[in-house]
Amino acid sequence: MVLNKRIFRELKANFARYLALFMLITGGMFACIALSSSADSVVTSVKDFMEHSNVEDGCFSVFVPLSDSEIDELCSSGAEIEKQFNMDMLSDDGSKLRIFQSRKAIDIEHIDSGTAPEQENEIMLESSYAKAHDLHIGDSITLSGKTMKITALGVAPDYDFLLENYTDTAANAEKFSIAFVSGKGYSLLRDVNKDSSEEFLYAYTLPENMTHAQLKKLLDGSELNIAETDDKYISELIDRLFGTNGQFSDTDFNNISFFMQRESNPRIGASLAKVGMYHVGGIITGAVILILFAYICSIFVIGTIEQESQFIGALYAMGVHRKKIMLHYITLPVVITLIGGIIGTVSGCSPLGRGLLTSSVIGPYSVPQVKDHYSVWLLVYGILMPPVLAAAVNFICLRRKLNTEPLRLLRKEQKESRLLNIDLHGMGYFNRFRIRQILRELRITAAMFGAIVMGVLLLMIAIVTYVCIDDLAGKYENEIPYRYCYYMKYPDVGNIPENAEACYSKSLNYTYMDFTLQVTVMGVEENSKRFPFEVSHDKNAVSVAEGTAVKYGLRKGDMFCLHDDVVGTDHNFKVDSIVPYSAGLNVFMNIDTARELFEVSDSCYNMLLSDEELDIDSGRVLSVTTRESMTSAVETLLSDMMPMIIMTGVSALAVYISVLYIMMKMMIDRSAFQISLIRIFGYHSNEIKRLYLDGNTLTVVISAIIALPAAKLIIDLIWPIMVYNQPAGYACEPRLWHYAAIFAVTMLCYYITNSILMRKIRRITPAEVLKDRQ
Amino acid sequence: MFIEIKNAKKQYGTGEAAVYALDGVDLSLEKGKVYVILGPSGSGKSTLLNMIGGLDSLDSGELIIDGRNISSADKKALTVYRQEDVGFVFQFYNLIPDLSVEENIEVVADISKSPLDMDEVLKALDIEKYRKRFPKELSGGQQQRVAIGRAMIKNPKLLLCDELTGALDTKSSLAVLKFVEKINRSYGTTIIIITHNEAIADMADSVIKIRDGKIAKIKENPQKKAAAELEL
Repeated sequence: MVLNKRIFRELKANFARYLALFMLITGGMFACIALSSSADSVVTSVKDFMEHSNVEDGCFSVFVPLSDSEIDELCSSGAEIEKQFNMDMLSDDGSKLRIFQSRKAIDIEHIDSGTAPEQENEIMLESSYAKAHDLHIGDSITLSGKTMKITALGVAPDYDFLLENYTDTAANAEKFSIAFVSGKGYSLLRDVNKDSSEEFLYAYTLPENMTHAQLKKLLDGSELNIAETDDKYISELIDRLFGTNGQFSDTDFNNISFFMQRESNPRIGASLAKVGMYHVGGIITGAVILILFAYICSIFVIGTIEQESQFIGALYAMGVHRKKIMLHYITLPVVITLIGGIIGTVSGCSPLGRGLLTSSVIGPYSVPQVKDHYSVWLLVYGILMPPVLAAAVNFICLRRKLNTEPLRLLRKEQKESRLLNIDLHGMGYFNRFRIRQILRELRITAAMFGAIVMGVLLLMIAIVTYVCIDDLAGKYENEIPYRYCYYMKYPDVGNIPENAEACYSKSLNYTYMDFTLQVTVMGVEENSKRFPFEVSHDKNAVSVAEGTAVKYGLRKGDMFCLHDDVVGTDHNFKVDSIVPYSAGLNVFMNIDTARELFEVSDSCYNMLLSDEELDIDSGRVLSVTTRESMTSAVETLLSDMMPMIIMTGVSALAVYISVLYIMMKMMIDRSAFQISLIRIFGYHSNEIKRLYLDGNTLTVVISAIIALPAAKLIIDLIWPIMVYNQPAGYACEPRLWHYAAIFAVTMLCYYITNSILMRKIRRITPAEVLKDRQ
Repeated sequence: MFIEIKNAKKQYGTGEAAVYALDGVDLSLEKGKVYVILGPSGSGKSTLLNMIGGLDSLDSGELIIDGRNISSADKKALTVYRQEDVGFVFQFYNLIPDLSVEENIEVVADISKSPLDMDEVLKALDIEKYRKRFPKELSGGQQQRVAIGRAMIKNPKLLLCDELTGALDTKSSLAVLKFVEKINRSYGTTIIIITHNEAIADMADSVIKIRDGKIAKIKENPQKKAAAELEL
């Protein structure tokens, strides 16, 4: 069709406009596909890994190891049980490795590279720890003076999120990770590390017809085999509790120190939850870009038809069919969006796209080497959605416009909005003109408003994400009232070291948005120096830490129901007060009230807080956490998130500049004839700019003023979803200067666009336009 | 008769604002002749031309062209009618600015069942040498010749010209009218020209004067002048 020869010329004549549209689609699809396909690849790889590694259904730890007969008895019920005893060891650089024996049945570790350790001096390191410490296969690592040769790098499904403690906020592979050794290797390291404690952890899988509660019941009936253990500390504890003659019954002391179902374990499958969000985020980003694009497209179509109405009318008069004309107008946007979709999708799937985002997507998670996964529907979405949408929008708009009678098209008859008759008396000429120009171009104004809302939203997400993680790191630094936190392996009594403060803590589960996280009930001393706030003395009430209140939207007087997996009971607490503490997820009560609530002895504690290292037997200590490691974990989270934050910010700028440019240019194109006329009347370029461009300043300012609180409202709605699986309260509270900064960036983008278009205004000469008209 | 119009009525607006653009027009036009319709602004001449061209519909009455009742045709049939039988020339040419001379004409040739030879049309209109140029590179007269070429390429039975010299100077107007005359002679095309310019009436076989939506006068012109002799 000869008419299609116009297409290339139209492209050439309006290259900048189509380039901006192309960039919008390419960039949008790039972001959408990169994010979604990275997420898809991670999800597929992790799910595949979890299936092959026979991930646990749950785990429990005991004070005294179960006897073989007890394990056999448990297994006879159909459950599968595997020992996962472990101990923490320090490497030369102070980082901590949790050492496990290689698994055979449950949570089987995956080797990314190398061969499984077989000799006693061989070790498999967790991959992200090896990367963070620049360790490779064949290198050596020294643990408590024992040098081990690295033979493999890999991951384990029960440490998908490398949390040292279940209640930690973030992971930091530089400071803490896991490692696997052979059975001989474990014995060797246990010997060199015999003074330190060992966790007696068991993982289990259940048959289809068995519940966690049934297994728990069987476990509750297990005996406490003091004679079976060589752990002097548990014997000492039993002596303290029941006297040296050992006169106690099993019912007085529950051997289970900890019981957790897989769903409640923050270390398992955390990447899937987080990555799933990125996947949805990617699709939503794409959809929002496409909706914006569709709207812009419709404005183009309507504008083009209005501009070319007479030619179209003439063609109709000659008998050219509507279908041919429609096809002609649809072709260019469809081809551009198809190419944009293809390039955006291909680059999003390329190492560039995935490479950019995979680190943010994987972030702090320990997952196997991600295999590229190409979801067919995602490719179809990325490649076909833009042209299909362009075709659909063009079709709908064109059908309506081209249904006009040929005569009306020839006469350029257009419906005039009643809004244009608005009474603006009393206003100066320039203001009247600008307002009428805005009203005349209401569709364009609406597109600019949409772009500004979207840009402000993206900028706010970027800024809020950065600021709230950074703030949290600051709060950790300032609010954590200790340098060292010792988690005791056994509940201890008396003998609180000097300069230390004892607490009794218990981790309970809270399920929010179908995701279970652990909330620590902290029993703190009366008039605590480290927690200088009033805490509840009521067994049925808690003082909720600010971070926890932020996370779950709790207020004074609310009820907060926590579940105890070990005992299988619910605790309904009333929120007594909100106290200023942001680290992790905690609620506070008086230590004696906590002891009474959890039925432990009057002087019992299981946590020691101190500003200096304590001289206590390492065998008593399950693990030690420092303020520095907690803060640095949050800082690591921030650096993991940086590519995502930068990309979101850049996307905002791209949306601003491309949409503002396209729309404002269109406004000028449509007014070109008028501009040439008023130039004839003697107007200078600056005065023309004041009339035709500066009216947009009002649009942009008002849009930004509306968009800022609107974006905050939207973020308030989506923020809990974005951080639902984060074990900390990330307060989404942009400050005044954040609003000011977003406003300034918006205005800057507008002024840049305005300046670019000023050159176009200067190029409009009366002669050229009038000749065109003739 | 090639064109039969019987009691044609067309009203725009309603109530007090109602205007009768055509108020009971009866007219018969023969094939192969040149007709000039004269009348002041708002007399209804453009409405009549648009009705004949199938661009607008009658409120009542009949319009039969070459045996086909146009007044009862639906949109689709009107499009086919315009495609096969009618060529339009407008006052402001309405050429597509980003198509060359040749391409502007080709747009219509494309949809025509048996178009004339492109070179022949370009030659006849003396615009051969401009075939690769774009409309903005041509004068008004040259552009109007392209518009005539575009209308003629499909060899229509009927050529409708709406103020075709309205935007042209005298010299260009004469040149354009000469080509219209040539088309009538060469192809036997029935031509209807509406104009304000009474001087053009001299080249018509028949002059129809229209006033207030009614035919005021029909004057046969047995001694019609050649276009070159017109005193515009």
